[in-house]
Amino acid sequence: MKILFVDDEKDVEALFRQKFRKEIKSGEIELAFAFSGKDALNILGEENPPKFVYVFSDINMPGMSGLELLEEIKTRFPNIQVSMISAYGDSENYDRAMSSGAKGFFTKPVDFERLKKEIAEMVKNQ
Amino acid sequence: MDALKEKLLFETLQKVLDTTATANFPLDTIGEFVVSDVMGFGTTVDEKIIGIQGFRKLLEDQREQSKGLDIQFKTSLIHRRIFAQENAALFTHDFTVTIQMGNEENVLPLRFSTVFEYFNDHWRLVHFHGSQAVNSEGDTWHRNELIKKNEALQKLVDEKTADLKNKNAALEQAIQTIKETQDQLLQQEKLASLGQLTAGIAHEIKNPLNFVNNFSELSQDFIEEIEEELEKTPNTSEKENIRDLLEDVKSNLGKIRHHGSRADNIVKSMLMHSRGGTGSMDPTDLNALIREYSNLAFHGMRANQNPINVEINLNLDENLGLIPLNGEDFSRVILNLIKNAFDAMRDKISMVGSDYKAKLEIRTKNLANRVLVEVEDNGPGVPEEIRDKLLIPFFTTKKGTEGTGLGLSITHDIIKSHLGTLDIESSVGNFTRFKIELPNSKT
Repeated sequence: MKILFVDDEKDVEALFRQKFRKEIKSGEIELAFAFSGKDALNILGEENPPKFVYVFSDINMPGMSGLELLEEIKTRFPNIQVSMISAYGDSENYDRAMSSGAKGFFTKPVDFERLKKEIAEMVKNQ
Repeated sequence: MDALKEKLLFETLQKVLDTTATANFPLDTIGEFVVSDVMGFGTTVDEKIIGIQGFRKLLEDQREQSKGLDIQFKTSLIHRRIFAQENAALFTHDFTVTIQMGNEENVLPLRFSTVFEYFNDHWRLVHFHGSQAVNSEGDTWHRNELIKKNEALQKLVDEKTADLKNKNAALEQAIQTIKETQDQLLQQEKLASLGQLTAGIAHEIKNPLNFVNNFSELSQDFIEEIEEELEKTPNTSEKENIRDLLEDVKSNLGKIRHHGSRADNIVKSMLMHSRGGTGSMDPTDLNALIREYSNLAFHGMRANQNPINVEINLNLDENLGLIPLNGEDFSRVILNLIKNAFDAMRDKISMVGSDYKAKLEIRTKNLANRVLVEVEDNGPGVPEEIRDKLLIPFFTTKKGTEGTGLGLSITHDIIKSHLGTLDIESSVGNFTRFKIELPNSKT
């Protein structure tokens, strides 16, 4: 199962790859990383239809914001699930994300147990 | 003087007096006893008579003005003098005029002098002077009267000046108040932008801090895996050494993790304060909140300008249980009261000197249906006359822009929103004690 993480912090990649080391090693999941909204849309647009099942995106990013990216993905690739990961867990961001079709909303610092559960659930349903 | 001449003189004098006193005196005959260039002064400014026509006009005016009035005249001779060669004579009279108006009797005391000249077998009036006696005894030149008038004027001026001074003072006070309010607004504006800055900084710190915490946690996990793998290899002295080193690294990572979460907690409270509260009341460990925020307040004070040495004693009732509180708001109460105590004790240090040891004590106590929180300092105390004003918004004893005058009023508002009460006890020079009572979970 291919998952795309979108965050402008490059160290996110090392962190998530290490956190999901076992799942990646076992071939359960495959991770890709994009460092901007535009970057993410390029990666998703490489294949038609894209193999990605799930996108996790930060909200506060330079250029296209995570919420804009969410709307764009939901329009172009309605089958891909999108969840938001943000340091700003205020109700305004939450409400906008949910009404734009986000599957979940995670606050930073990320609760990896919850994230792992969410991904495991998704893998099971594949 | 021979008798005839004297008789003529008195007849002439009587005629002159009669011109005024007798109602129908034949004015056409005055030429017989008044010289044509007679000169006289009356009592009023315009009564300056030159020539017999003027004299006649005066008499006609008097007659006109007397019409319909009940007027009585009384004359009494004061003084007379016959001049040398007996051709001139001077008389002075008191000439009292009584005017009856209804029931009221107006008495007009006049003085009247007349000078006569004897010529061609006739006495004739050459000069007269009438004046009114005014009530200004011993005041020849009206000096006292002028002084009185002056004093009255001065009094009036003083009153007006005092009035203006009062108004001026009120205006100055108003300007001062406006200036202070402006300063306070500026201060609040600064605080507001500082709050925003704090939120921004907190967020910026939070992200790298998350990496620190996450990577240290991950590395701990990995070291455990390495240790598991290592156990599968044969025991050697190198393996022993590697195991020791890994143990140290793991412990170091634990320390990084520990201090990282400390920093994380501080950042969280910064964010909590810069954001508006959610307003929700949750069961809260009040003692833990007091421990955390007294520590933050202390370190905040130490890190700021003019740090002071303070002994802080926490005397917390461990049977408090969980208290329904809005943690964000109530932490502000604790911070404000502690900060006030620090400021007060700092003032006392600068007044009394270093012999004084600043002490802050915070107590909690479980009462039947309420909890008591006391924040007590041994600072300068609060004088009774301003104790009531402490909770008024914008009231501050701090100089210039050091205080907004909002701290205690916000504190009071927060306590009220928790259905609690705030009391102030103080003894000047000894202590100030803020007592908060809140409903506990049973209420």
